[in-house]
Amino acid sequence: MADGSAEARASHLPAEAAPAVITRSLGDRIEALPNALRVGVMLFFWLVVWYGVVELFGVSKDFLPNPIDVISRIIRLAWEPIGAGALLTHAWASIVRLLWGFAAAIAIGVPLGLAMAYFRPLQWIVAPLFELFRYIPPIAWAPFAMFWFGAGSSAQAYVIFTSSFAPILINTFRGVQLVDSRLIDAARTLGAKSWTILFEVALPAALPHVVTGLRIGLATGWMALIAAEIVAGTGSRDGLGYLILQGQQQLHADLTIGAMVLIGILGSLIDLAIRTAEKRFAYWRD
Amino acid sequence: MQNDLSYENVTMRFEGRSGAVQALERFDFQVSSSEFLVIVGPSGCGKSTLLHLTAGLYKPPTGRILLGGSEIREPGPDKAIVFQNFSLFPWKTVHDNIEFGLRINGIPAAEREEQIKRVIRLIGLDGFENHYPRQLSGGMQQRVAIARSFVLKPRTLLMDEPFAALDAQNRQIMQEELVRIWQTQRPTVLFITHSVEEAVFLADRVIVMTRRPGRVKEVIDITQITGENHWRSDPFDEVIRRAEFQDVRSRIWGLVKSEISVRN
Repeated sequence: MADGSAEARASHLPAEAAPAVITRSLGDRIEALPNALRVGVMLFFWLVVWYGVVELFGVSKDFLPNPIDVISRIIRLAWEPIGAGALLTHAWASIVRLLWGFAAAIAIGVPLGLAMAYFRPLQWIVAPLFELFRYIPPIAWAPFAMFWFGAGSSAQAYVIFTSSFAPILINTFRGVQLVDSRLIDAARTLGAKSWTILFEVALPAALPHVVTGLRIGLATGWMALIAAEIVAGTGSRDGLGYLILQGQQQLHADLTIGAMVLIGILGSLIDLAIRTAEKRFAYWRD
Repeated sequence: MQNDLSYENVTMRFEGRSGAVQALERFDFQVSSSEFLVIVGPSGCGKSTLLHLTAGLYKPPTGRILLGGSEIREPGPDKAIVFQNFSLFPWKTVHDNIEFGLRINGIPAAEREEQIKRVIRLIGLDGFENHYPRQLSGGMQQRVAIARSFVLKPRTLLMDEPFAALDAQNRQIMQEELVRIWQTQRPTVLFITHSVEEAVFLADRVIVMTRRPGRVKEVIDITQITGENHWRSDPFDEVIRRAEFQDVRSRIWGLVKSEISVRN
C-alpha cells in the first residue's frame, strides 16, 4: 500500500524533476549578440538573399537590380548631381522640409492640446473639426496645398504638418488629461496658482506623453514627406522623393531603390535620435 | 486655548451617477490652536471630504469653515495636506520637491536653501537631496512629503491617512518621527486614520465619526487620561502595553465597530 502510493506520487514528478538540459536555440544565440552586431549581421544576410535571388533567376536590371548595383548607385550619388545637386543636397532638402512642417505642428499642436485639456469648452469646440480633419490622409492635402503655396517646399512642409499635427495634439491632450489629479491638488495646497500648475505640474507630468506624440508625429511626417515630394514637388528639383521619381522617369530602377533605402535609413536614424531624447525627458520614470 | 479651526454646520454632498451622496451633515466642531486632532470612522464616512474641505480644495454648499477666524476660500500653504500616496512630484528631486512651495510663495533663494537644509536634517534625509522619489522607500517618500508641507510653517497640517501605505514597521517609526517633527513647530494637526491604535497614540482628542452622512459621534479627550505628559513622546511599543492605553483603544474601537456593523 505504502509503496504503491509512493510510486503513484512519484509518477507525477519526472517531468519536473528531470535535470534541465541547457540548450541554446538559434533564437537564443541571435538574441545574445550585441544589438548593432545583430542588426548588421541580419542586414547582410538579407542583402545576400537579395543578391542570390537576382543572380539565381537572372532577373533583369530594369526589373530588380542586385544590391551591389544599388549600393554603388548610392555611392555614386554622393558626388554625381541629379536635378538640384548630389546626395547631401537631396537629403538635406527633405530634412529641412520635414523640420519646417514638424515645427509648425509642434507650435500649434502642443499649445492647442494643452489648452483643450485645460479649458474644457475648447475641447468641445475643436473636437468635431479635428475628428474630420484627422481622417483626411496627408497625401489628399497635397493638391490643395499647391493651390495655396504653389508646387514647392512650402506645400510639402504643409503636407507634413497635416500628418504630424494629429498625433502631437492627441498625445499632448491625453497626457495633460491623464495627469494625476492628486499632484495638482498637492500643488494647490502648497499655494500654486493656475499658471504655475500648468507650467510646473501639468506640463512636466504630461511631458512623456508629449514626447511620444512628437516621436509619432515625426515618423508620420517622414512618411508624408516622401509622398508630398512626389505629388507636390515639381517646383523644386530636390528631395529624396524627387530622386525616386527621377529614377522612375529615367527608367533607372537602381536610383529609385537606392533612394528608397536612403529614406529607410534616414527615417530609422531620426527615430533613434528622438528615442534617445525621450529617455532624457523621462529620466524620472521607472 | 484659542480656537484655531471651527466648523459651523458644514454639509457636503456629491452628485453621482446613482444620485446624490450626502458625505457630511451638519458637522460642527472646534479645534484649538496647536491641537493634535485625529479623526476615525468607518470607510466612506466623509473623513477625507472633511480634510479636503479644510484644505480649501472645494467649498461646502452650506456651513462655513474658519481658520484663525477667517473663512477658508481657496487652498494655500497655511493649510497644507500630506496625502496617503505622498503625491511627490516624480520629476523633481527631494530638494526641488521641498523647494517648490517656498519658491512659489516668493521666499528668496538664500532663505529657501537654509529652510530646506533645516527640514531635510529634521526628517533625517541628509545626503538624499538629489534623489528622485522613485529612488526612495515609501517611508522616506512620506518624510519628504511631510517636509514639503512642514517647511511652509503651516498654521494647520492636514494629514490624510499618511501612513496607510507603509508597512507595519515603517508605520511605527513614522508615527514616532511625526511626533518629533511636529513638536518643533506645533502646528494644529488634523489627522485621519483607520488605525485606532495610531489615533490613541498620537491624538490630543479623537473624533469618532458616524457612518455616512458623517457627523461627530463622540469625542474622546486623550489628554485627560495622559495628563500633562502625553504618551506620544514615549516609545510606541511600550505605550501600547499600558492598561490605560488599551482601555481607551477598545472603547474607541467599540464606537467605530458599532458604526460599521449597523450598516445594512
